[in-house]
This record gives sequence, structure tokens and C-alpha cells, in this order.
Amino acid sequence: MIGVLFDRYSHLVYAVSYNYLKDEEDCKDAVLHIFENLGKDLNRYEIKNFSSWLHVVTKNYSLRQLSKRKETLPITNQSYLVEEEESGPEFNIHLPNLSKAMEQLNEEQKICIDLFYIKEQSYKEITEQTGFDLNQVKSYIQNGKRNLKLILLNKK
Amino acid sequence: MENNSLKNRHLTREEIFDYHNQKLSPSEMHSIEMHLQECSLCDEAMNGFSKMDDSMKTFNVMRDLRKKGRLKFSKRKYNFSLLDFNTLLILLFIIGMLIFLTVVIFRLK
Repeated sequence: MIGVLFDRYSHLVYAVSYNYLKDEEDCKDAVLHIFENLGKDLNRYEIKNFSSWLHVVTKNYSLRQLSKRKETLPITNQSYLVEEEESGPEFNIHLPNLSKAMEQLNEEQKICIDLFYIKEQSYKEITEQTGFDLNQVKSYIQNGKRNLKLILLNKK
Repeated sequence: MENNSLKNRHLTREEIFDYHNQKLSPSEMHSIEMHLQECSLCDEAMNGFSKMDDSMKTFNVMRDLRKKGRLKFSKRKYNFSLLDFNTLLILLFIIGMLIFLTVVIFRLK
């Protein structure tokens, strides 16, 4: 079983840990360490969503390694460790409500949400069309999506 | 690219590499980006991948790591536990008793 999980997830764990460790050998060690302990962890914890749990385990392991390296500011307690995010309530999108909610977004978010979700354009195409840079496009989509969800949930 | 099932799985090493190097069509790029919007694990992995200097080298490192992991974690290990040992003893005892009883019965006849 661990072999199958390793096949599916090792490259993702490696790349996530690179965000923090920025060293090839340290990232390889991170992958091997996390998967060596996976069997024990799977028996020990009740895991509802494996990929988000693995994401949190990878981030926490990498942050611990960083603090050991003392590359960051001294950390006196474990409060920097991230916790698994609770998924929000599910809701069904009602199209008339959605178009009304879209009107409440700011202009940039509205344009990016429309191009990405409705016209199905890639980030690159959106940057070319709007003149926004890649990070702006990602941020407008992310924030627009979050705002839409809040607006639609409040309308219920 | 098998983008039809991206809702039910995570990005492969090849997809991350191809996306990063813009080797995909706009609709394939869009499918991956739709997945990245919903999956924080793949999104952060894509960010990490983009921070690496040499994407081809990283691709090969990931491939070698996978091979190493296959050897390390796919081996079937037999865990000889105390419970198994006790079961074996009980079985041996029962077989021994059966043989003993058979011999005794034949001798009495």
C-alpha cells in the first residue's frame, strides 16, 4: 500500500517541500522520511482526506527541518505548525444567483472569473487579454471565487 | 494528457513538467489550472516546481526517487509476530496430539 501511495504522491511531496527547504537532498530526505512513517501514521490517526493530510504533514515536516537549520528566526514554540483545513459547507450554484453575485465583485475579479470559469481561458490567455500579470490573475480568481462563495452562502 | 479525470486524481510528474514548460494546449493548461484552484497540494507542488532552476533535472530526480521508493516500499515484508508464533505452536500441538491418539488407538486394536 505504501508503495502505491509513494508512486502517486512522492513527486508532489518533493515539490511541496522544495518551497521551504530549497535543497535537492533535503527534499529527497523529506519524501523518504514522510513515507517511512506513513504506515504508523495511517494506523494512528483517523484521516478523512488523505491528500490534504499529506499536504499538512509535508509542510510541518519541512518547517521543522527549517527551524533545525536555523535559517529562519528563532521559533520558541510549535505554533508555526499548520493544521489541516476544514472544508467549508457545500453549496449548489444557482445560475441566476451567480450572475447577481458576479455583479457584486470588483471589476478585476469579475473579468478574471468570467474569463477563467465561463470562457474557460488559461491564465496565460487571461494575462495576454487583460494585461494583468500572472500573480494578479491568480489572486483575482482566488479572491473572486472566495467572495462569490461568501455572497452565495449569505443569500441562502 | 489525461485531463478527463483530473477531478478524481492529482497531477502527475509529466503534467507538472509539461505545464511548467508550456508544452500543453490552452485547453489542457486550463484543465490543469482548474485543478490547481481546487487542490492545494498540487498548487503548492507546482509553485515548488517553478522555483527549481532546472526543470529537466528535477523531473529526473523525481523519477529516480520514485524508482528508489518502489524498491524500498513495494517489498512485501513478512511480519513474524508473537501472535503468529503462538498460533503455530498451537497448531503443532494439535497435530502432535492427533498423531499420538492415532498411534494409541491402533496399538489398542
